[in-house]
Amino acid sequence: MSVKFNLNTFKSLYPNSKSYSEYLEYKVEDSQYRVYNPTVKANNVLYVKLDHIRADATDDHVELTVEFDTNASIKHVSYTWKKGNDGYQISDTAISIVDDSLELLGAVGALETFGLSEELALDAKEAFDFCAKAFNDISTAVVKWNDNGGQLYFVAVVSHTINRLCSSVYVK
Amino acid sequence: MKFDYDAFGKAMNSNKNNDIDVINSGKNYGWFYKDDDDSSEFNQVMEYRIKDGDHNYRTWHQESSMITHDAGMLVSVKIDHIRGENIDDHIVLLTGFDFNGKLFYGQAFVQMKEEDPFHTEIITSGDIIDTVHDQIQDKIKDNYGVNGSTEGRKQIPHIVRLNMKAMCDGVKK
Repeated sequence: MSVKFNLNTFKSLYPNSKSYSEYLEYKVEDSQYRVYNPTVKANNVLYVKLDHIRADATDDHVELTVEFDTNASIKHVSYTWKKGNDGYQISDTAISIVDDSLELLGAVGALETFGLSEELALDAKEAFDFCAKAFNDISTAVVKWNDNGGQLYFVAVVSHTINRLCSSVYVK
Repeated sequence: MKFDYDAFGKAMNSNKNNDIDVINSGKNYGWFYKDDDDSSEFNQVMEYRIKDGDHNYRTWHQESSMITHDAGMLVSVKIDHIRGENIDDHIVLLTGFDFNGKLFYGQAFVQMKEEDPFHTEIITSGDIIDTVHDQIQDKIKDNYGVNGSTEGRKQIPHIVRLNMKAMCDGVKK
């Protein structure tokens, strides 16, 4: 068994996007973003590049590496973040989930009641934890960059991307 | 689950405090296309002002994504405090709703021109909306100086609260 990625599913989860062969683009919250097709970097590891489109050299660039376990449950996220213009870089940073404080969907038991098995409920909880942790960790740095808010909102785009990746992987 | 923009709009129009006026509320609950030549979904915004004051704000069409296995939904939004062209304040808010549509998580980041940015913690317990409100409130200064839009900035915690409450109405099971 290994983890498979469904590109069509992934692309369908971006509302109102324009799809191209190598990437999709969408406008949201007053800014334009480009999400490249994720590629398989290694077993159970997906790699995806994203741009906040401003104008040529001023684009912001993100590279995300997302690792799943053999049950297609998210296990690890690392990223590089390069700001347009001056090239300031938040480099090679990993998002780690080190404690239980983010067990937000939390009552895993409640999810089981909802009809999810314990395994799927944990899977959902971990997906959410990484999205929330990414938003917190990255925004704390990026909030200092004050344009029209599009640089800051890029962090939310990345969180949604992690979330959508988790919804686009399956075990075969 | 889905995000119902009309339900959000209704909530903004009928907020219990009745202290904001939604601009053009007679059409699409106030949602309109920000740029005339762009009729794409996410070009829609809602603008509103605090009654009895010249303080204006803008909410962009929220973005949402389902949490895997339909366990819940993430909803994010950018809110502008409209001060003019390049000096608007920005609030970016990420929220999480469980499969019953109940808010279980929120965090806000706030940018103000010429001021230090700030943010709330990751809020997951207690009254989430009130806690986000209070943590923003704690960071708002008493005075932002000449042309610092002090009164408008003082309303930012309240504006975030109104938006979060209306977002709860917008999330439909």
